[in-house]
Amino acid sequence: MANYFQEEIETASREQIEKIQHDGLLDVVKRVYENVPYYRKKMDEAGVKPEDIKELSDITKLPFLTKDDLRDAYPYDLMALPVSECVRIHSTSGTTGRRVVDFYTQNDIDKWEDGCARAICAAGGTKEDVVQVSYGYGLFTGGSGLNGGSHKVGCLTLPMSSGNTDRQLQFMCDFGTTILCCTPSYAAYLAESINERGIKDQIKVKAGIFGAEAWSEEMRHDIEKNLGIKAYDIYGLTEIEGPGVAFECEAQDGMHICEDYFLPEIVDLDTLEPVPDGQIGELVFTSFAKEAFPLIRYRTKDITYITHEKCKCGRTHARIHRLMGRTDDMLIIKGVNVYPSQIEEVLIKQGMPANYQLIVDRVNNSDTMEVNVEMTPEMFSDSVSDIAAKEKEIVAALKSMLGIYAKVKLVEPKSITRSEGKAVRIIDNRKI
Amino acid sequence: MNINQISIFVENKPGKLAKLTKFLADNQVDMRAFEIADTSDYGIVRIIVDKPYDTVTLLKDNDWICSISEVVGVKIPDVAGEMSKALAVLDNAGISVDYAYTFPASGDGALMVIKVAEVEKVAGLFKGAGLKVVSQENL
Ligand SMILES: [Zn+2]
Repeated sequence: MANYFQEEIETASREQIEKIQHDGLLDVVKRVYENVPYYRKKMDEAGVKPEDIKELSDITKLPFLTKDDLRDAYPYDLMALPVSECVRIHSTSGTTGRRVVDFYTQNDIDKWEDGCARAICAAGGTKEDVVQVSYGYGLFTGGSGLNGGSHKVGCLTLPMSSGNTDRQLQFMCDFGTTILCCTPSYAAYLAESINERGIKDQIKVKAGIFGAEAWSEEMRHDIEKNLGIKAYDIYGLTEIEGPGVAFECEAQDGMHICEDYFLPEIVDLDTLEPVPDGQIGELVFTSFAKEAFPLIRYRTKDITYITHEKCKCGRTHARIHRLMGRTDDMLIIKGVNVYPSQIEEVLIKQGMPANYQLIVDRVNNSDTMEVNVEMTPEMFSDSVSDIAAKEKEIVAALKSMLGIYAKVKLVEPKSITRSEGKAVRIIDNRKI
Repeated sequence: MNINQISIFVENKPGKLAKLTKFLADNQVDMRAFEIADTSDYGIVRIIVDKPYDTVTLLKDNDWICSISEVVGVKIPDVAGEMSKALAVLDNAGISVDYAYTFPASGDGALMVIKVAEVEKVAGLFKGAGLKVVSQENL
């Protein structure tokens, strides 16, 4: 018997779900057309009026929304309600351009936390559980989302935030954490630290809810094996609300989208036409239930496929496959999806500036990957063996993050090619 | 009492070493010794100059990665067996050497540069054995 948070809606019939989505779509289109000049202009330019949207399939008449729109509209131009109706904002880190901000009414927060609560229950959580939230708190959505979800389930919640591994492990032991929520790379790191310290017998964790970065099936197996837990994927993005947009259940066979709040589409990577179930494309969301900041046909840039088949767990909401990459920066090396963001993360964790260049090549039909990293005064030493040891650490950290070997080469400062002031991060020399 | 050696990070790529030596020459750095420890990807260039702190500042201001470290300089007269005599002093005291290199000294003979953990102790041992320890000031 599966463990649901809101059984009725999570197991609703396809007809019921489509009715909710149909009504939600018509409502949100009307709301934004009337209240958001930015949307009205876009719709007028596309020659579509709210009354043209009668069926769910009419959604394709509506223009897409991209991250550029969100940046153009920063900070208030996509709001569907006055600021006085909102109770919170969250924001992206803004490392790749202007920040993107999301606004929430109290209802928006409630629904978001419901999504996170569904994720916790899908991972087997009940009020008897102790949930350690080791995602960052603050502007980042990870911490507060899972924190709120954990409260709704009634779990004892440890609002740890990220970092400070000693304290994480201490609380994990002292308060008997049973569900761990953090990024998969941090989970892998915690697993390693636990095994290094030989404290595995003091750890009661049985499940982990890991998201906010791309990870592989291999990494899941590693974490599950090293920690002796079940590791569940969770999906979300700040623009839509945060984690809990979709989550895995005990079947660990795709993430259930909260379809009563979000209408998903998968579109062809080139033509942007909708594709059928099982076909890979870009994930597009319409967050029709959002009051403050609804997005219509928002292109997530995430690559995946969808299935509407009923799941073994009994949930009827559609599932998306584990993310297969980003439309703009995914590389497939030795059959493994590699994202520049992962390399960046490894370097930052090693105390290095994220100043690198990834050079991919193919030698004897096999892909090779070399990561050039700029030497820093902190890392430099008069001793060749000290530098070699540091190099090895980076290689090991990359291996644990990516699952494949990358040669690390230390280069002189400012030697990484820059084009118009921006560093060139990827050089793919493969001729495929 | 000892010598302040400068170590500089240089990529092992054509032209990189020449770029460094040109930079030093263009800035009238009076270089007494020059030594390279290299791997297939990069090298550590070790130099001894007359004004080490000025030179380190100059290098850092121009984005070279470098550091300064104390080494012991000992005069090796131009007589057979003198170098092994110096090394035997360290051997007998059970001191391990990180690395050593020699370069021609002003006057005759050579100067041997030795990198060890305990610089002062080693300088004392050499003096006790009747060897001439050369400091930064009288290079
Ligand atoms: Zn399921």
